[in-house]
Amino acid sequence: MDNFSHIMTTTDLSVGYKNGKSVNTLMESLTLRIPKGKFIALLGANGVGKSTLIRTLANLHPILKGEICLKGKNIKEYASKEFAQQLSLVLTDPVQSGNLTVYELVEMGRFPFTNWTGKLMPLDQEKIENAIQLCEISYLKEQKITEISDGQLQKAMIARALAQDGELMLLDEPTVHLDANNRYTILKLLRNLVDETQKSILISTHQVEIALKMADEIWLANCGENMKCGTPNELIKNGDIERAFPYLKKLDL
Amino acid sequence: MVLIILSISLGSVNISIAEIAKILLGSPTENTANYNILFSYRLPKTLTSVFAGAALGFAGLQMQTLFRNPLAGPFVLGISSGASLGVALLVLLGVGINGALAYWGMAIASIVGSLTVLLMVVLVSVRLKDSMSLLLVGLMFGAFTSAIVGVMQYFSTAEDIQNFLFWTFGATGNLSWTELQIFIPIIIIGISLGYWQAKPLNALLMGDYYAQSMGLRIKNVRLFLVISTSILAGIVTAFCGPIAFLGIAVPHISRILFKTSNHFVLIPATLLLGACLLLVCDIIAQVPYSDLILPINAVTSLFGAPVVIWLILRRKNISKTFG
Repeated sequence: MDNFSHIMTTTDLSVGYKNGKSVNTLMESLTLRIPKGKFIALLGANGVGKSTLIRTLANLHPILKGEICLKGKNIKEYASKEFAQQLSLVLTDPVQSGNLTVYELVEMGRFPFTNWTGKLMPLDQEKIENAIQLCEISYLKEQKITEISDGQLQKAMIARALAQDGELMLLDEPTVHLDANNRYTILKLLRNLVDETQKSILISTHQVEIALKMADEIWLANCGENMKCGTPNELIKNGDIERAFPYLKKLDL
Repeated sequence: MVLIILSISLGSVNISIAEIAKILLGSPTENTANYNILFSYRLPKTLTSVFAGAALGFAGLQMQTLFRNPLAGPFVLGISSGASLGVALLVLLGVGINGALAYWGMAIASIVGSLTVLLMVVLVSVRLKDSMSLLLVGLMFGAFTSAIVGVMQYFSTAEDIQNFLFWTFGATGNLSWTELQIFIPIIIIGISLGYWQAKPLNALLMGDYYAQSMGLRIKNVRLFLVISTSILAGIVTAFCGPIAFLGIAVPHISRILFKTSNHFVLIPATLLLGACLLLVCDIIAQVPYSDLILPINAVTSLFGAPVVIWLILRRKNISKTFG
């Protein structure tokens, strides 16, 4: 397989939960590709398994069936540090450490690169500064994370993931809890990051309209159906989007 | 430093500071009684307080970060009760606390006791994602072990019970130099083991998922922290009895004073503050210029609890500064 154009591939992947003997499969036979330097939006209703898929791809959740390869290598064969250097995450779990400053938060991104004392080398500092600049949060650097708004915090979390400098970033609902303007700003920021850094970004989101405008590729998850992948135009043309999100038509904006 | 000097110089026999300086600097002194009091009683006592305080504070910090719970501490999670159970088994079942071997026996019994409880708490914590239930489970473990101790007391001789009761009052003054030779190195091992985990502790502030996504092998870290905490809490409980309150309070005071959650700052801070606080409590417990000695456990709670309440009230919401 060409490892160079695809950062991550899955073969016949099933995700879901296993509790003792009962297995609850949320998605199955997924054969997905994340190309290099692309912005992918994962759309789907609540409870369809978007977060579970993202956690599974990030090796935080056990795989039910099939396999996931990162840069051509099975993710189970990665050492945890090596894996973290390739892939970074933004999740919906709140971070509750009031004493952390924004800078310290972004600094955490360098965790897989520093030694046990956590000392930052000039390269690390450069990456941190760079991430802060790209996310336009320089003015927040010394603020505590409880003193900033949700939108600012989300930017800081993205900056942290960026400082981790993996070629792939996974974001689980980065726009949740944000107001309309901030939702747009965050997605626009991610779009720019893809263009400027050539990283690949996969997000799950409910912002259908913005995602259709900005993403290079849409993954459309529907209960009991196979995942539909394609460019926004393809999915709009063949009516998949309209079938999945009938409200768009009704609002008729 | 000031506290160390104070702690050495205050006691039922009044020794002048000049005299102490002379003795410590090794110049010959005409008063051998003072020399003996200083070397065989006060110096070991001061050293014990310093190390025990540092150990308890640090153990509390590790627990609070590991469980991401501001109420966690060696006591609340039942670790100290586990240590009590270990010691109770030893004392009340008639092995007694005599001879040099018994010191090792007590140290090992209490470490095994605290380790057992803590491992159970960690096992439960893997199944429960919610830290409130974890706290409740810890309290239940504590109640459970106390109950076993209670049952054992019922069937023990009066003399054994008395020994055990004195142990539960807590004391920093019962350690001889030979015991300190066990006490101090083990605490240093526990502290180094924990300090080595400073960077993972910082990552844990973000939560388990984030910590893992940053390349942290969470199971290993949990294990190291559990071992370090049980060594620290276990050894202190073994030699000084269950000393309440320090483990919870010291990390909070450090966070409030230093306004940071960076463990590379917090660890030295808790070590230092823990040592200072226990020294202060110890000085109060001796009731300077009198023959009275109060149980240290009573003093730490008596003077400590109001301090913590005051700090929390001033801060309004401790969970925000926590972490």
